[in-house]
Amino acid sequence: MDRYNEQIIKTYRKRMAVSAITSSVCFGLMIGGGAAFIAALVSWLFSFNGVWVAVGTGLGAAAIAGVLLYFLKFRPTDKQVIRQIDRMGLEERTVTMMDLAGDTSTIAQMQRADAHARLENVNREQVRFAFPAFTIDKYAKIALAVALVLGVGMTTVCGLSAAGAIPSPNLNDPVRDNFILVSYWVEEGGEIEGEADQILSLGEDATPVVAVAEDGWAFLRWSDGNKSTERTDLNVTADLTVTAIFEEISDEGDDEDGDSLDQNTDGDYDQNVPEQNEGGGDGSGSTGGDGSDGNGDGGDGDGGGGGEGGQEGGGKGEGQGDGAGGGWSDSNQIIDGNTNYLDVFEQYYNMAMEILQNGGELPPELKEFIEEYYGSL
Amino acid sequence: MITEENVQQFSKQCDNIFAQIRRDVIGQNEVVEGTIIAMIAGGNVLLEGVPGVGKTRLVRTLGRVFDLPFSRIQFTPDLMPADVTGTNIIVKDDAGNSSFSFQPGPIFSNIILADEINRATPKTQSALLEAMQEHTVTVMGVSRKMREPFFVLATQNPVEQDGTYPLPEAQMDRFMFKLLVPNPSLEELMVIVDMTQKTMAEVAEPACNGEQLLAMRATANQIPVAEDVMRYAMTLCSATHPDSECASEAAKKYVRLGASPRAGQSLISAAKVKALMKGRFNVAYSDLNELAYPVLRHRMKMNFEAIAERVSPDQVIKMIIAEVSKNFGVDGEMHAEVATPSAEKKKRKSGK
Repeated sequence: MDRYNEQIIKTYRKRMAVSAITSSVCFGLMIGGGAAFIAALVSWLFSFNGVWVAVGTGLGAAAIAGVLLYFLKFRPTDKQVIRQIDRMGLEERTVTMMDLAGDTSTIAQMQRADAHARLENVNREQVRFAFPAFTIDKYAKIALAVALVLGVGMTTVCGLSAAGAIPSPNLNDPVRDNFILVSYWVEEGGEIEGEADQILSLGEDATPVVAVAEDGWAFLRWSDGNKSTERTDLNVTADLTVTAIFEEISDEGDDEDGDSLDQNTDGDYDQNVPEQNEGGGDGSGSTGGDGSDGNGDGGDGDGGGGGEGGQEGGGKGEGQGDGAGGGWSDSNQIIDGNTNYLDVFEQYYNMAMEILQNGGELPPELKEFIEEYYGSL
Repeated sequence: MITEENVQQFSKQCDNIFAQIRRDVIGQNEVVEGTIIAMIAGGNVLLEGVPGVGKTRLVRTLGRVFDLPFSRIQFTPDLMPADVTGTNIIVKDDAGNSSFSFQPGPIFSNIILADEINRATPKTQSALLEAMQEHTVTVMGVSRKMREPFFVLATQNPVEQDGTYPLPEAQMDRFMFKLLVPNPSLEELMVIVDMTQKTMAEVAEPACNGEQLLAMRATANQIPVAEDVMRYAMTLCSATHPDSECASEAAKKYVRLGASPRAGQSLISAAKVKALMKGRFNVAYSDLNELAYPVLRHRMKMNFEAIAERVSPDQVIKMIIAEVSKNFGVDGEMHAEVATPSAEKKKRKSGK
C-alpha cells in the first residue's frame, strides 16, 4: 500500500472511529440500562435496598459492553474504511485503487489518477453522508430510549421502595418469614426424645424434647447454655439449631476425679460442685436450688444440711454424691421460659459472694452461669 | 497495452456511435445502450418486443453505423439449418467435372439479424449455436471461422405465441443480453411519426468500423475489477440458483434453474464497457446492478409458483439485488450522478 493510500485510510479512519465510538456508547448504554433495570427489579421484588447495586450494575455493564462492542464489532477495519470512502459517490474507485496498489500499468495509473481526482473533490456534504457521527438506526434509538427509561425508572422505584415511599412485593417474605426450622441435634452419647426437627410458624411454640443420655454418658448442657435435659422453646421467631452435649462418665460414683457428675434416682445426672462442697456438712447446702424442675438435688447426706433445697423442690432427688454437701446443683441452673432468672441469679450471686468472702474459689459452672446471665442482658 | 489514446478514442467513438444511432432510432435509450455495450463486449443480443417498436430498424441502423456487413434472416417454421449456415452444392468446372463447393449461408456476415427467431424450429435455431459461441460454422465436417466481429442480434415477439418454438436454454444462454423493447413514449411517438412522414430513409452514417470495434473491446477488457466488486457480481449470479450456497430467498421461492457461469462472464465484460463509457476506469456496484437485468432475466427458469403468482424474472432480479446489496453493505450507495443528498432532494423536487 503506497503512502497516499495509507494517508487516505488514516484520515477517514478517524472519522469512522467517531461513529464507531458513538455506536459502541449507545449500544453499551442500551445494555447498561437493561442490566440496571434487571438489578433494580430484583432488589425491588425481594425488598432489599439495591439502588447502588443497580446503578453500579448499569454503569459497569455499559462500560464493559461499550468497550467490547467497540473492539469486537464497531472498530473500523481498513476494508470498511475504504468501502465507506467509496460511499461518498466514488463508485468503487477507492477499493479498486487499493487493489491496484503497486500496479504500474497504464490503466492502473489512470485509475489511480481518476480516484485521486475524485477524492480531492469530495465536498463536506459527501463526507457527512458517508461518515456520519451517529449511525445507529431508528430502531436502535428506540431500544436505547426504552432501555434507559426502564433502567432509570426501575432504579428510582427501587430507591423509593427502600425509602418506604412505595411498597415492595417482598417475594421472599411468605417463605422466609412465616416458617421457622427448629433442630435439636446430638453429636454423641445420647439421643433426643421427641421431635428433633420441627417446622414452626412464626411465633409458634416448639414441642418439648428431652436429651436422654446413653449408658456411661451424662447430659452436660445444650449448646445454647441451657442445662436442663428437657426443653420447650416458646414463641420461636427465628431458625434455631441447638445440640445436646453429653459427657462420658469415666468412674461412676466416685467424684474424686472431680468430674462432678452424679446420677439421680431417676437415672438422670446432675452436676455437683465438689470444690464448693469439699469438707461440706456446714449446712450451706440449704441454698441447694429451687428444685423447679422437680429434679432437685437433695444435697449431701454426709453434710446433713443439704436436704432443704431438695425438699423445697419436691425432694425428688436424694443426694448420692459424696462430699457434695453444698445446695447448689445443676438442676438449679435451668434457664428456660418459666424461670424467674432474677431470683435464680440472686441465689447464685449470693452463693458466689459467700464463697468469695470465705476465701474460696468460684466453681467454673457458677462462674459461667453468672457470666452468661450478664451476657444475656 | 492500453494507452490514454485508446481510452480517448473509446470515448470519442462511443459518442459518435450514439449520435449516429439517434438519427434513426428515436428513444429506446436503454435498448440502444444495451445493444452497443453487448456489441463492444462481443456478445449477442435478443431483443424482445411487440411488432412495430423499432427492433429491426435498430439492428439495421447498427449495421450501418458500425460499417459492417449485415445479413437478415427471417426465421419461419420451414426454415432449415442449411438455409442459415449454407451448404455444399455440386458445381461443374469448365472441364465438366463435378465437385462439391460450399455455398455460405447468410450467417457468414458480421452482423446477423435473426428476425423472429422463435418462429423457426429448434433444429434450425440450433444452427446458430456454434456460430454464436465459438464463432465457427461446421458444415459437412468442415469448420469455417466467422469474420470478426460477429454478432447475432435476434428479435422475438412475446405476444403471438402460436406457431412459435420457445428458444432452448442452451440457445438463450448464448445471448449476452435480453433487452425488452418498450413502446415509445408519447413524445417519442410524435417525433417518430413526424420523422417518418418526411422520409423513411435511414440516414445514420458509419461511425466505427470492425477494427475500431475490436480495439474498443480490447480497451474495455483492460478495465480492472476490484476483488470486492468481482465477488459481488459472482454472488449476484450464484444467488439466482435456488440450491447454491448463496441462494437468495427470492430464488429459493421463484426460480427453478439459475444463471450459468456464462452469465458471470457476460456481467463482468459488459460492466467493464459500461464503466468505460461513463469515463470510469473501474467497475462499480451500480454498473452490475443495472446490467443484472439484461444479463440474468433470460437465464433464469422460473418455477410454477412464480408463474402462478405472475412474478416476472425482473422482479426476482430486483429482489436478489436488494438482498445481495444488503449482505454486502452497499445499501444507500451514493451514486456519482446523485453526488450529494441535497442534489438528490433537488432532483426529486424537479421531478426528474
